[in-house]
Amino acid sequence: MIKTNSRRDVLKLAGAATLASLMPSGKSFAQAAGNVVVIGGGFGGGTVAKYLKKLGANVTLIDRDSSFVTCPFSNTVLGGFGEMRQVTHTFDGLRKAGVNVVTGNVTGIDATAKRVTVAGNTTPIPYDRLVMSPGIDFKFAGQPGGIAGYDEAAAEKMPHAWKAGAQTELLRRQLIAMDDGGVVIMAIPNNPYRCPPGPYERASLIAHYLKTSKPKSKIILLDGKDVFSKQALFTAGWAALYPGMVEWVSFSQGGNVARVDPNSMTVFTDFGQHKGNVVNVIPPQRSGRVLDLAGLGSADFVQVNPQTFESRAVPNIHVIGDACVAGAMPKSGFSANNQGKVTAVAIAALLRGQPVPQPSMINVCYSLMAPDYGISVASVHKIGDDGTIISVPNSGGTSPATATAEFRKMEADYARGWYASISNEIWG
Amino acid sequence: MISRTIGSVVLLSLAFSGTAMAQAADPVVLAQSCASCHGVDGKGVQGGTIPPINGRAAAAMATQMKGYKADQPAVTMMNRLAKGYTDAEIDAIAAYYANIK
Repeated sequence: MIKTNSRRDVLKLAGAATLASLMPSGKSFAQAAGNVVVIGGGFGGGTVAKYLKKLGANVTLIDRDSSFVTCPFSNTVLGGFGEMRQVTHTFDGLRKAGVNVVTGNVTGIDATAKRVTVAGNTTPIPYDRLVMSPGIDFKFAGQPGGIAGYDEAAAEKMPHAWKAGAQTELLRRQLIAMDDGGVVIMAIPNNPYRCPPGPYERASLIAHYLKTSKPKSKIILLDGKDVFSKQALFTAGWAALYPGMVEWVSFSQGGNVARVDPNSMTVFTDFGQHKGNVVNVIPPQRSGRVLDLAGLGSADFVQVNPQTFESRAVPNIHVIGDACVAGAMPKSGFSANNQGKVTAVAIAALLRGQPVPQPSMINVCYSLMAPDYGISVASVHKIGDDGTIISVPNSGGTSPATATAEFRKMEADYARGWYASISNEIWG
Repeated sequence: MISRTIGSVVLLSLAFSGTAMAQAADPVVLAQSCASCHGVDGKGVQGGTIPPINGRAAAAMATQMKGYKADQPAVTMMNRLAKGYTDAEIDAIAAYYANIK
């Protein structure tokens, strides 16, 4: 499927040429390549695995599941016009590309001996470089920052659906079961969290479903912040597409959710309480807990060297995607994908003893507000003079505040085009 | 074709050891960002809505990208992205994809 391409050949040749000039001993390309283990088969992990394989490394990818369900486009399932199979990807494409895929829970990471243990496998997997792309985990009740009453059991009544899969299907079933005239409540956290515009896309597509099937219903967004991504575009879109249906309660207006009671389906804010027929709680988040095994879980998100995405604390372990602190880059599937490419090039260079190229990255986040109404935000990133990842000045930004219906439809079509391309690039 | 790209990569690698932070990004690193939307090697995907960008004359692609920087023409996405790159970076990206047939 992925043809041998000129880029690989160019890199190989360029690598050999540079290696020869820097290392008169003539150490071969094959010897310079090494063992890379990747934890997580999502946007970050899948990308870094595929690109590193192309660059000549021996790559093992570990995921606890046998397939990956993307959060991007999972809101189309809630909107009633997308299907789970469209957002579910097996790892067969990665296998075909030559990546060794292991299914199982990681139970140990020995950063000194440089090896990873997977449940059920007696022999640890050795690495020269480890890439961790575990995404997020939730802060549940009883944990610092968690919402009182919101634990894993509560998530079975008030789904988060912020890791796509069974939770997405549960929330969809609840929306279908709700009577017309019902109230849907969404609890939205303060920053930072996975996919900044995601909750508002979700609200839009739930509103699309309600408008189509249950037009007397309402959706109330209880927010832990006062400003949000693409706010002007979302606000205008709600007024145009779903008048009177979407109510946004900001932090200052009492939107911050402090406690929930799943039995009475009640959400308690700092100022009052709301009862919902369907309650979607997007809890506060931290990096995936598997990072704790490497001693990298003490802060919510992991500090990395922005040129290589190598952990600042533990050598030879790189952390990408939602789990890392990436300066001006948002926590998005696109960011994780681009970080995966940059990290693959960096690791290939490190394994060959070559200088690491300067990164250049972009992020594009499309949001659907209806099947034919798309909006977007984009940014171009590099390392700034302060050594952090910055947005290139005077570039990027959101879709225009006013645009024709054709323009919004084109962006919806490009959103679908983006999803088709990036899914194929990673899992195809 | 390929030797020119190799030349620039090697040059960059060698120059890099001198002044690290002032260094421009590698053409491969610059170009690989495009693939997330325009497909692997810029070849698009079957039935996709976003056009392929491989195999075009480098000068034509560079001219188009520089036009986007100046909002000529105004399109949905590429104006915002093109503004994030120098003309030299655009030339490098265009040369990279021109070499992929």
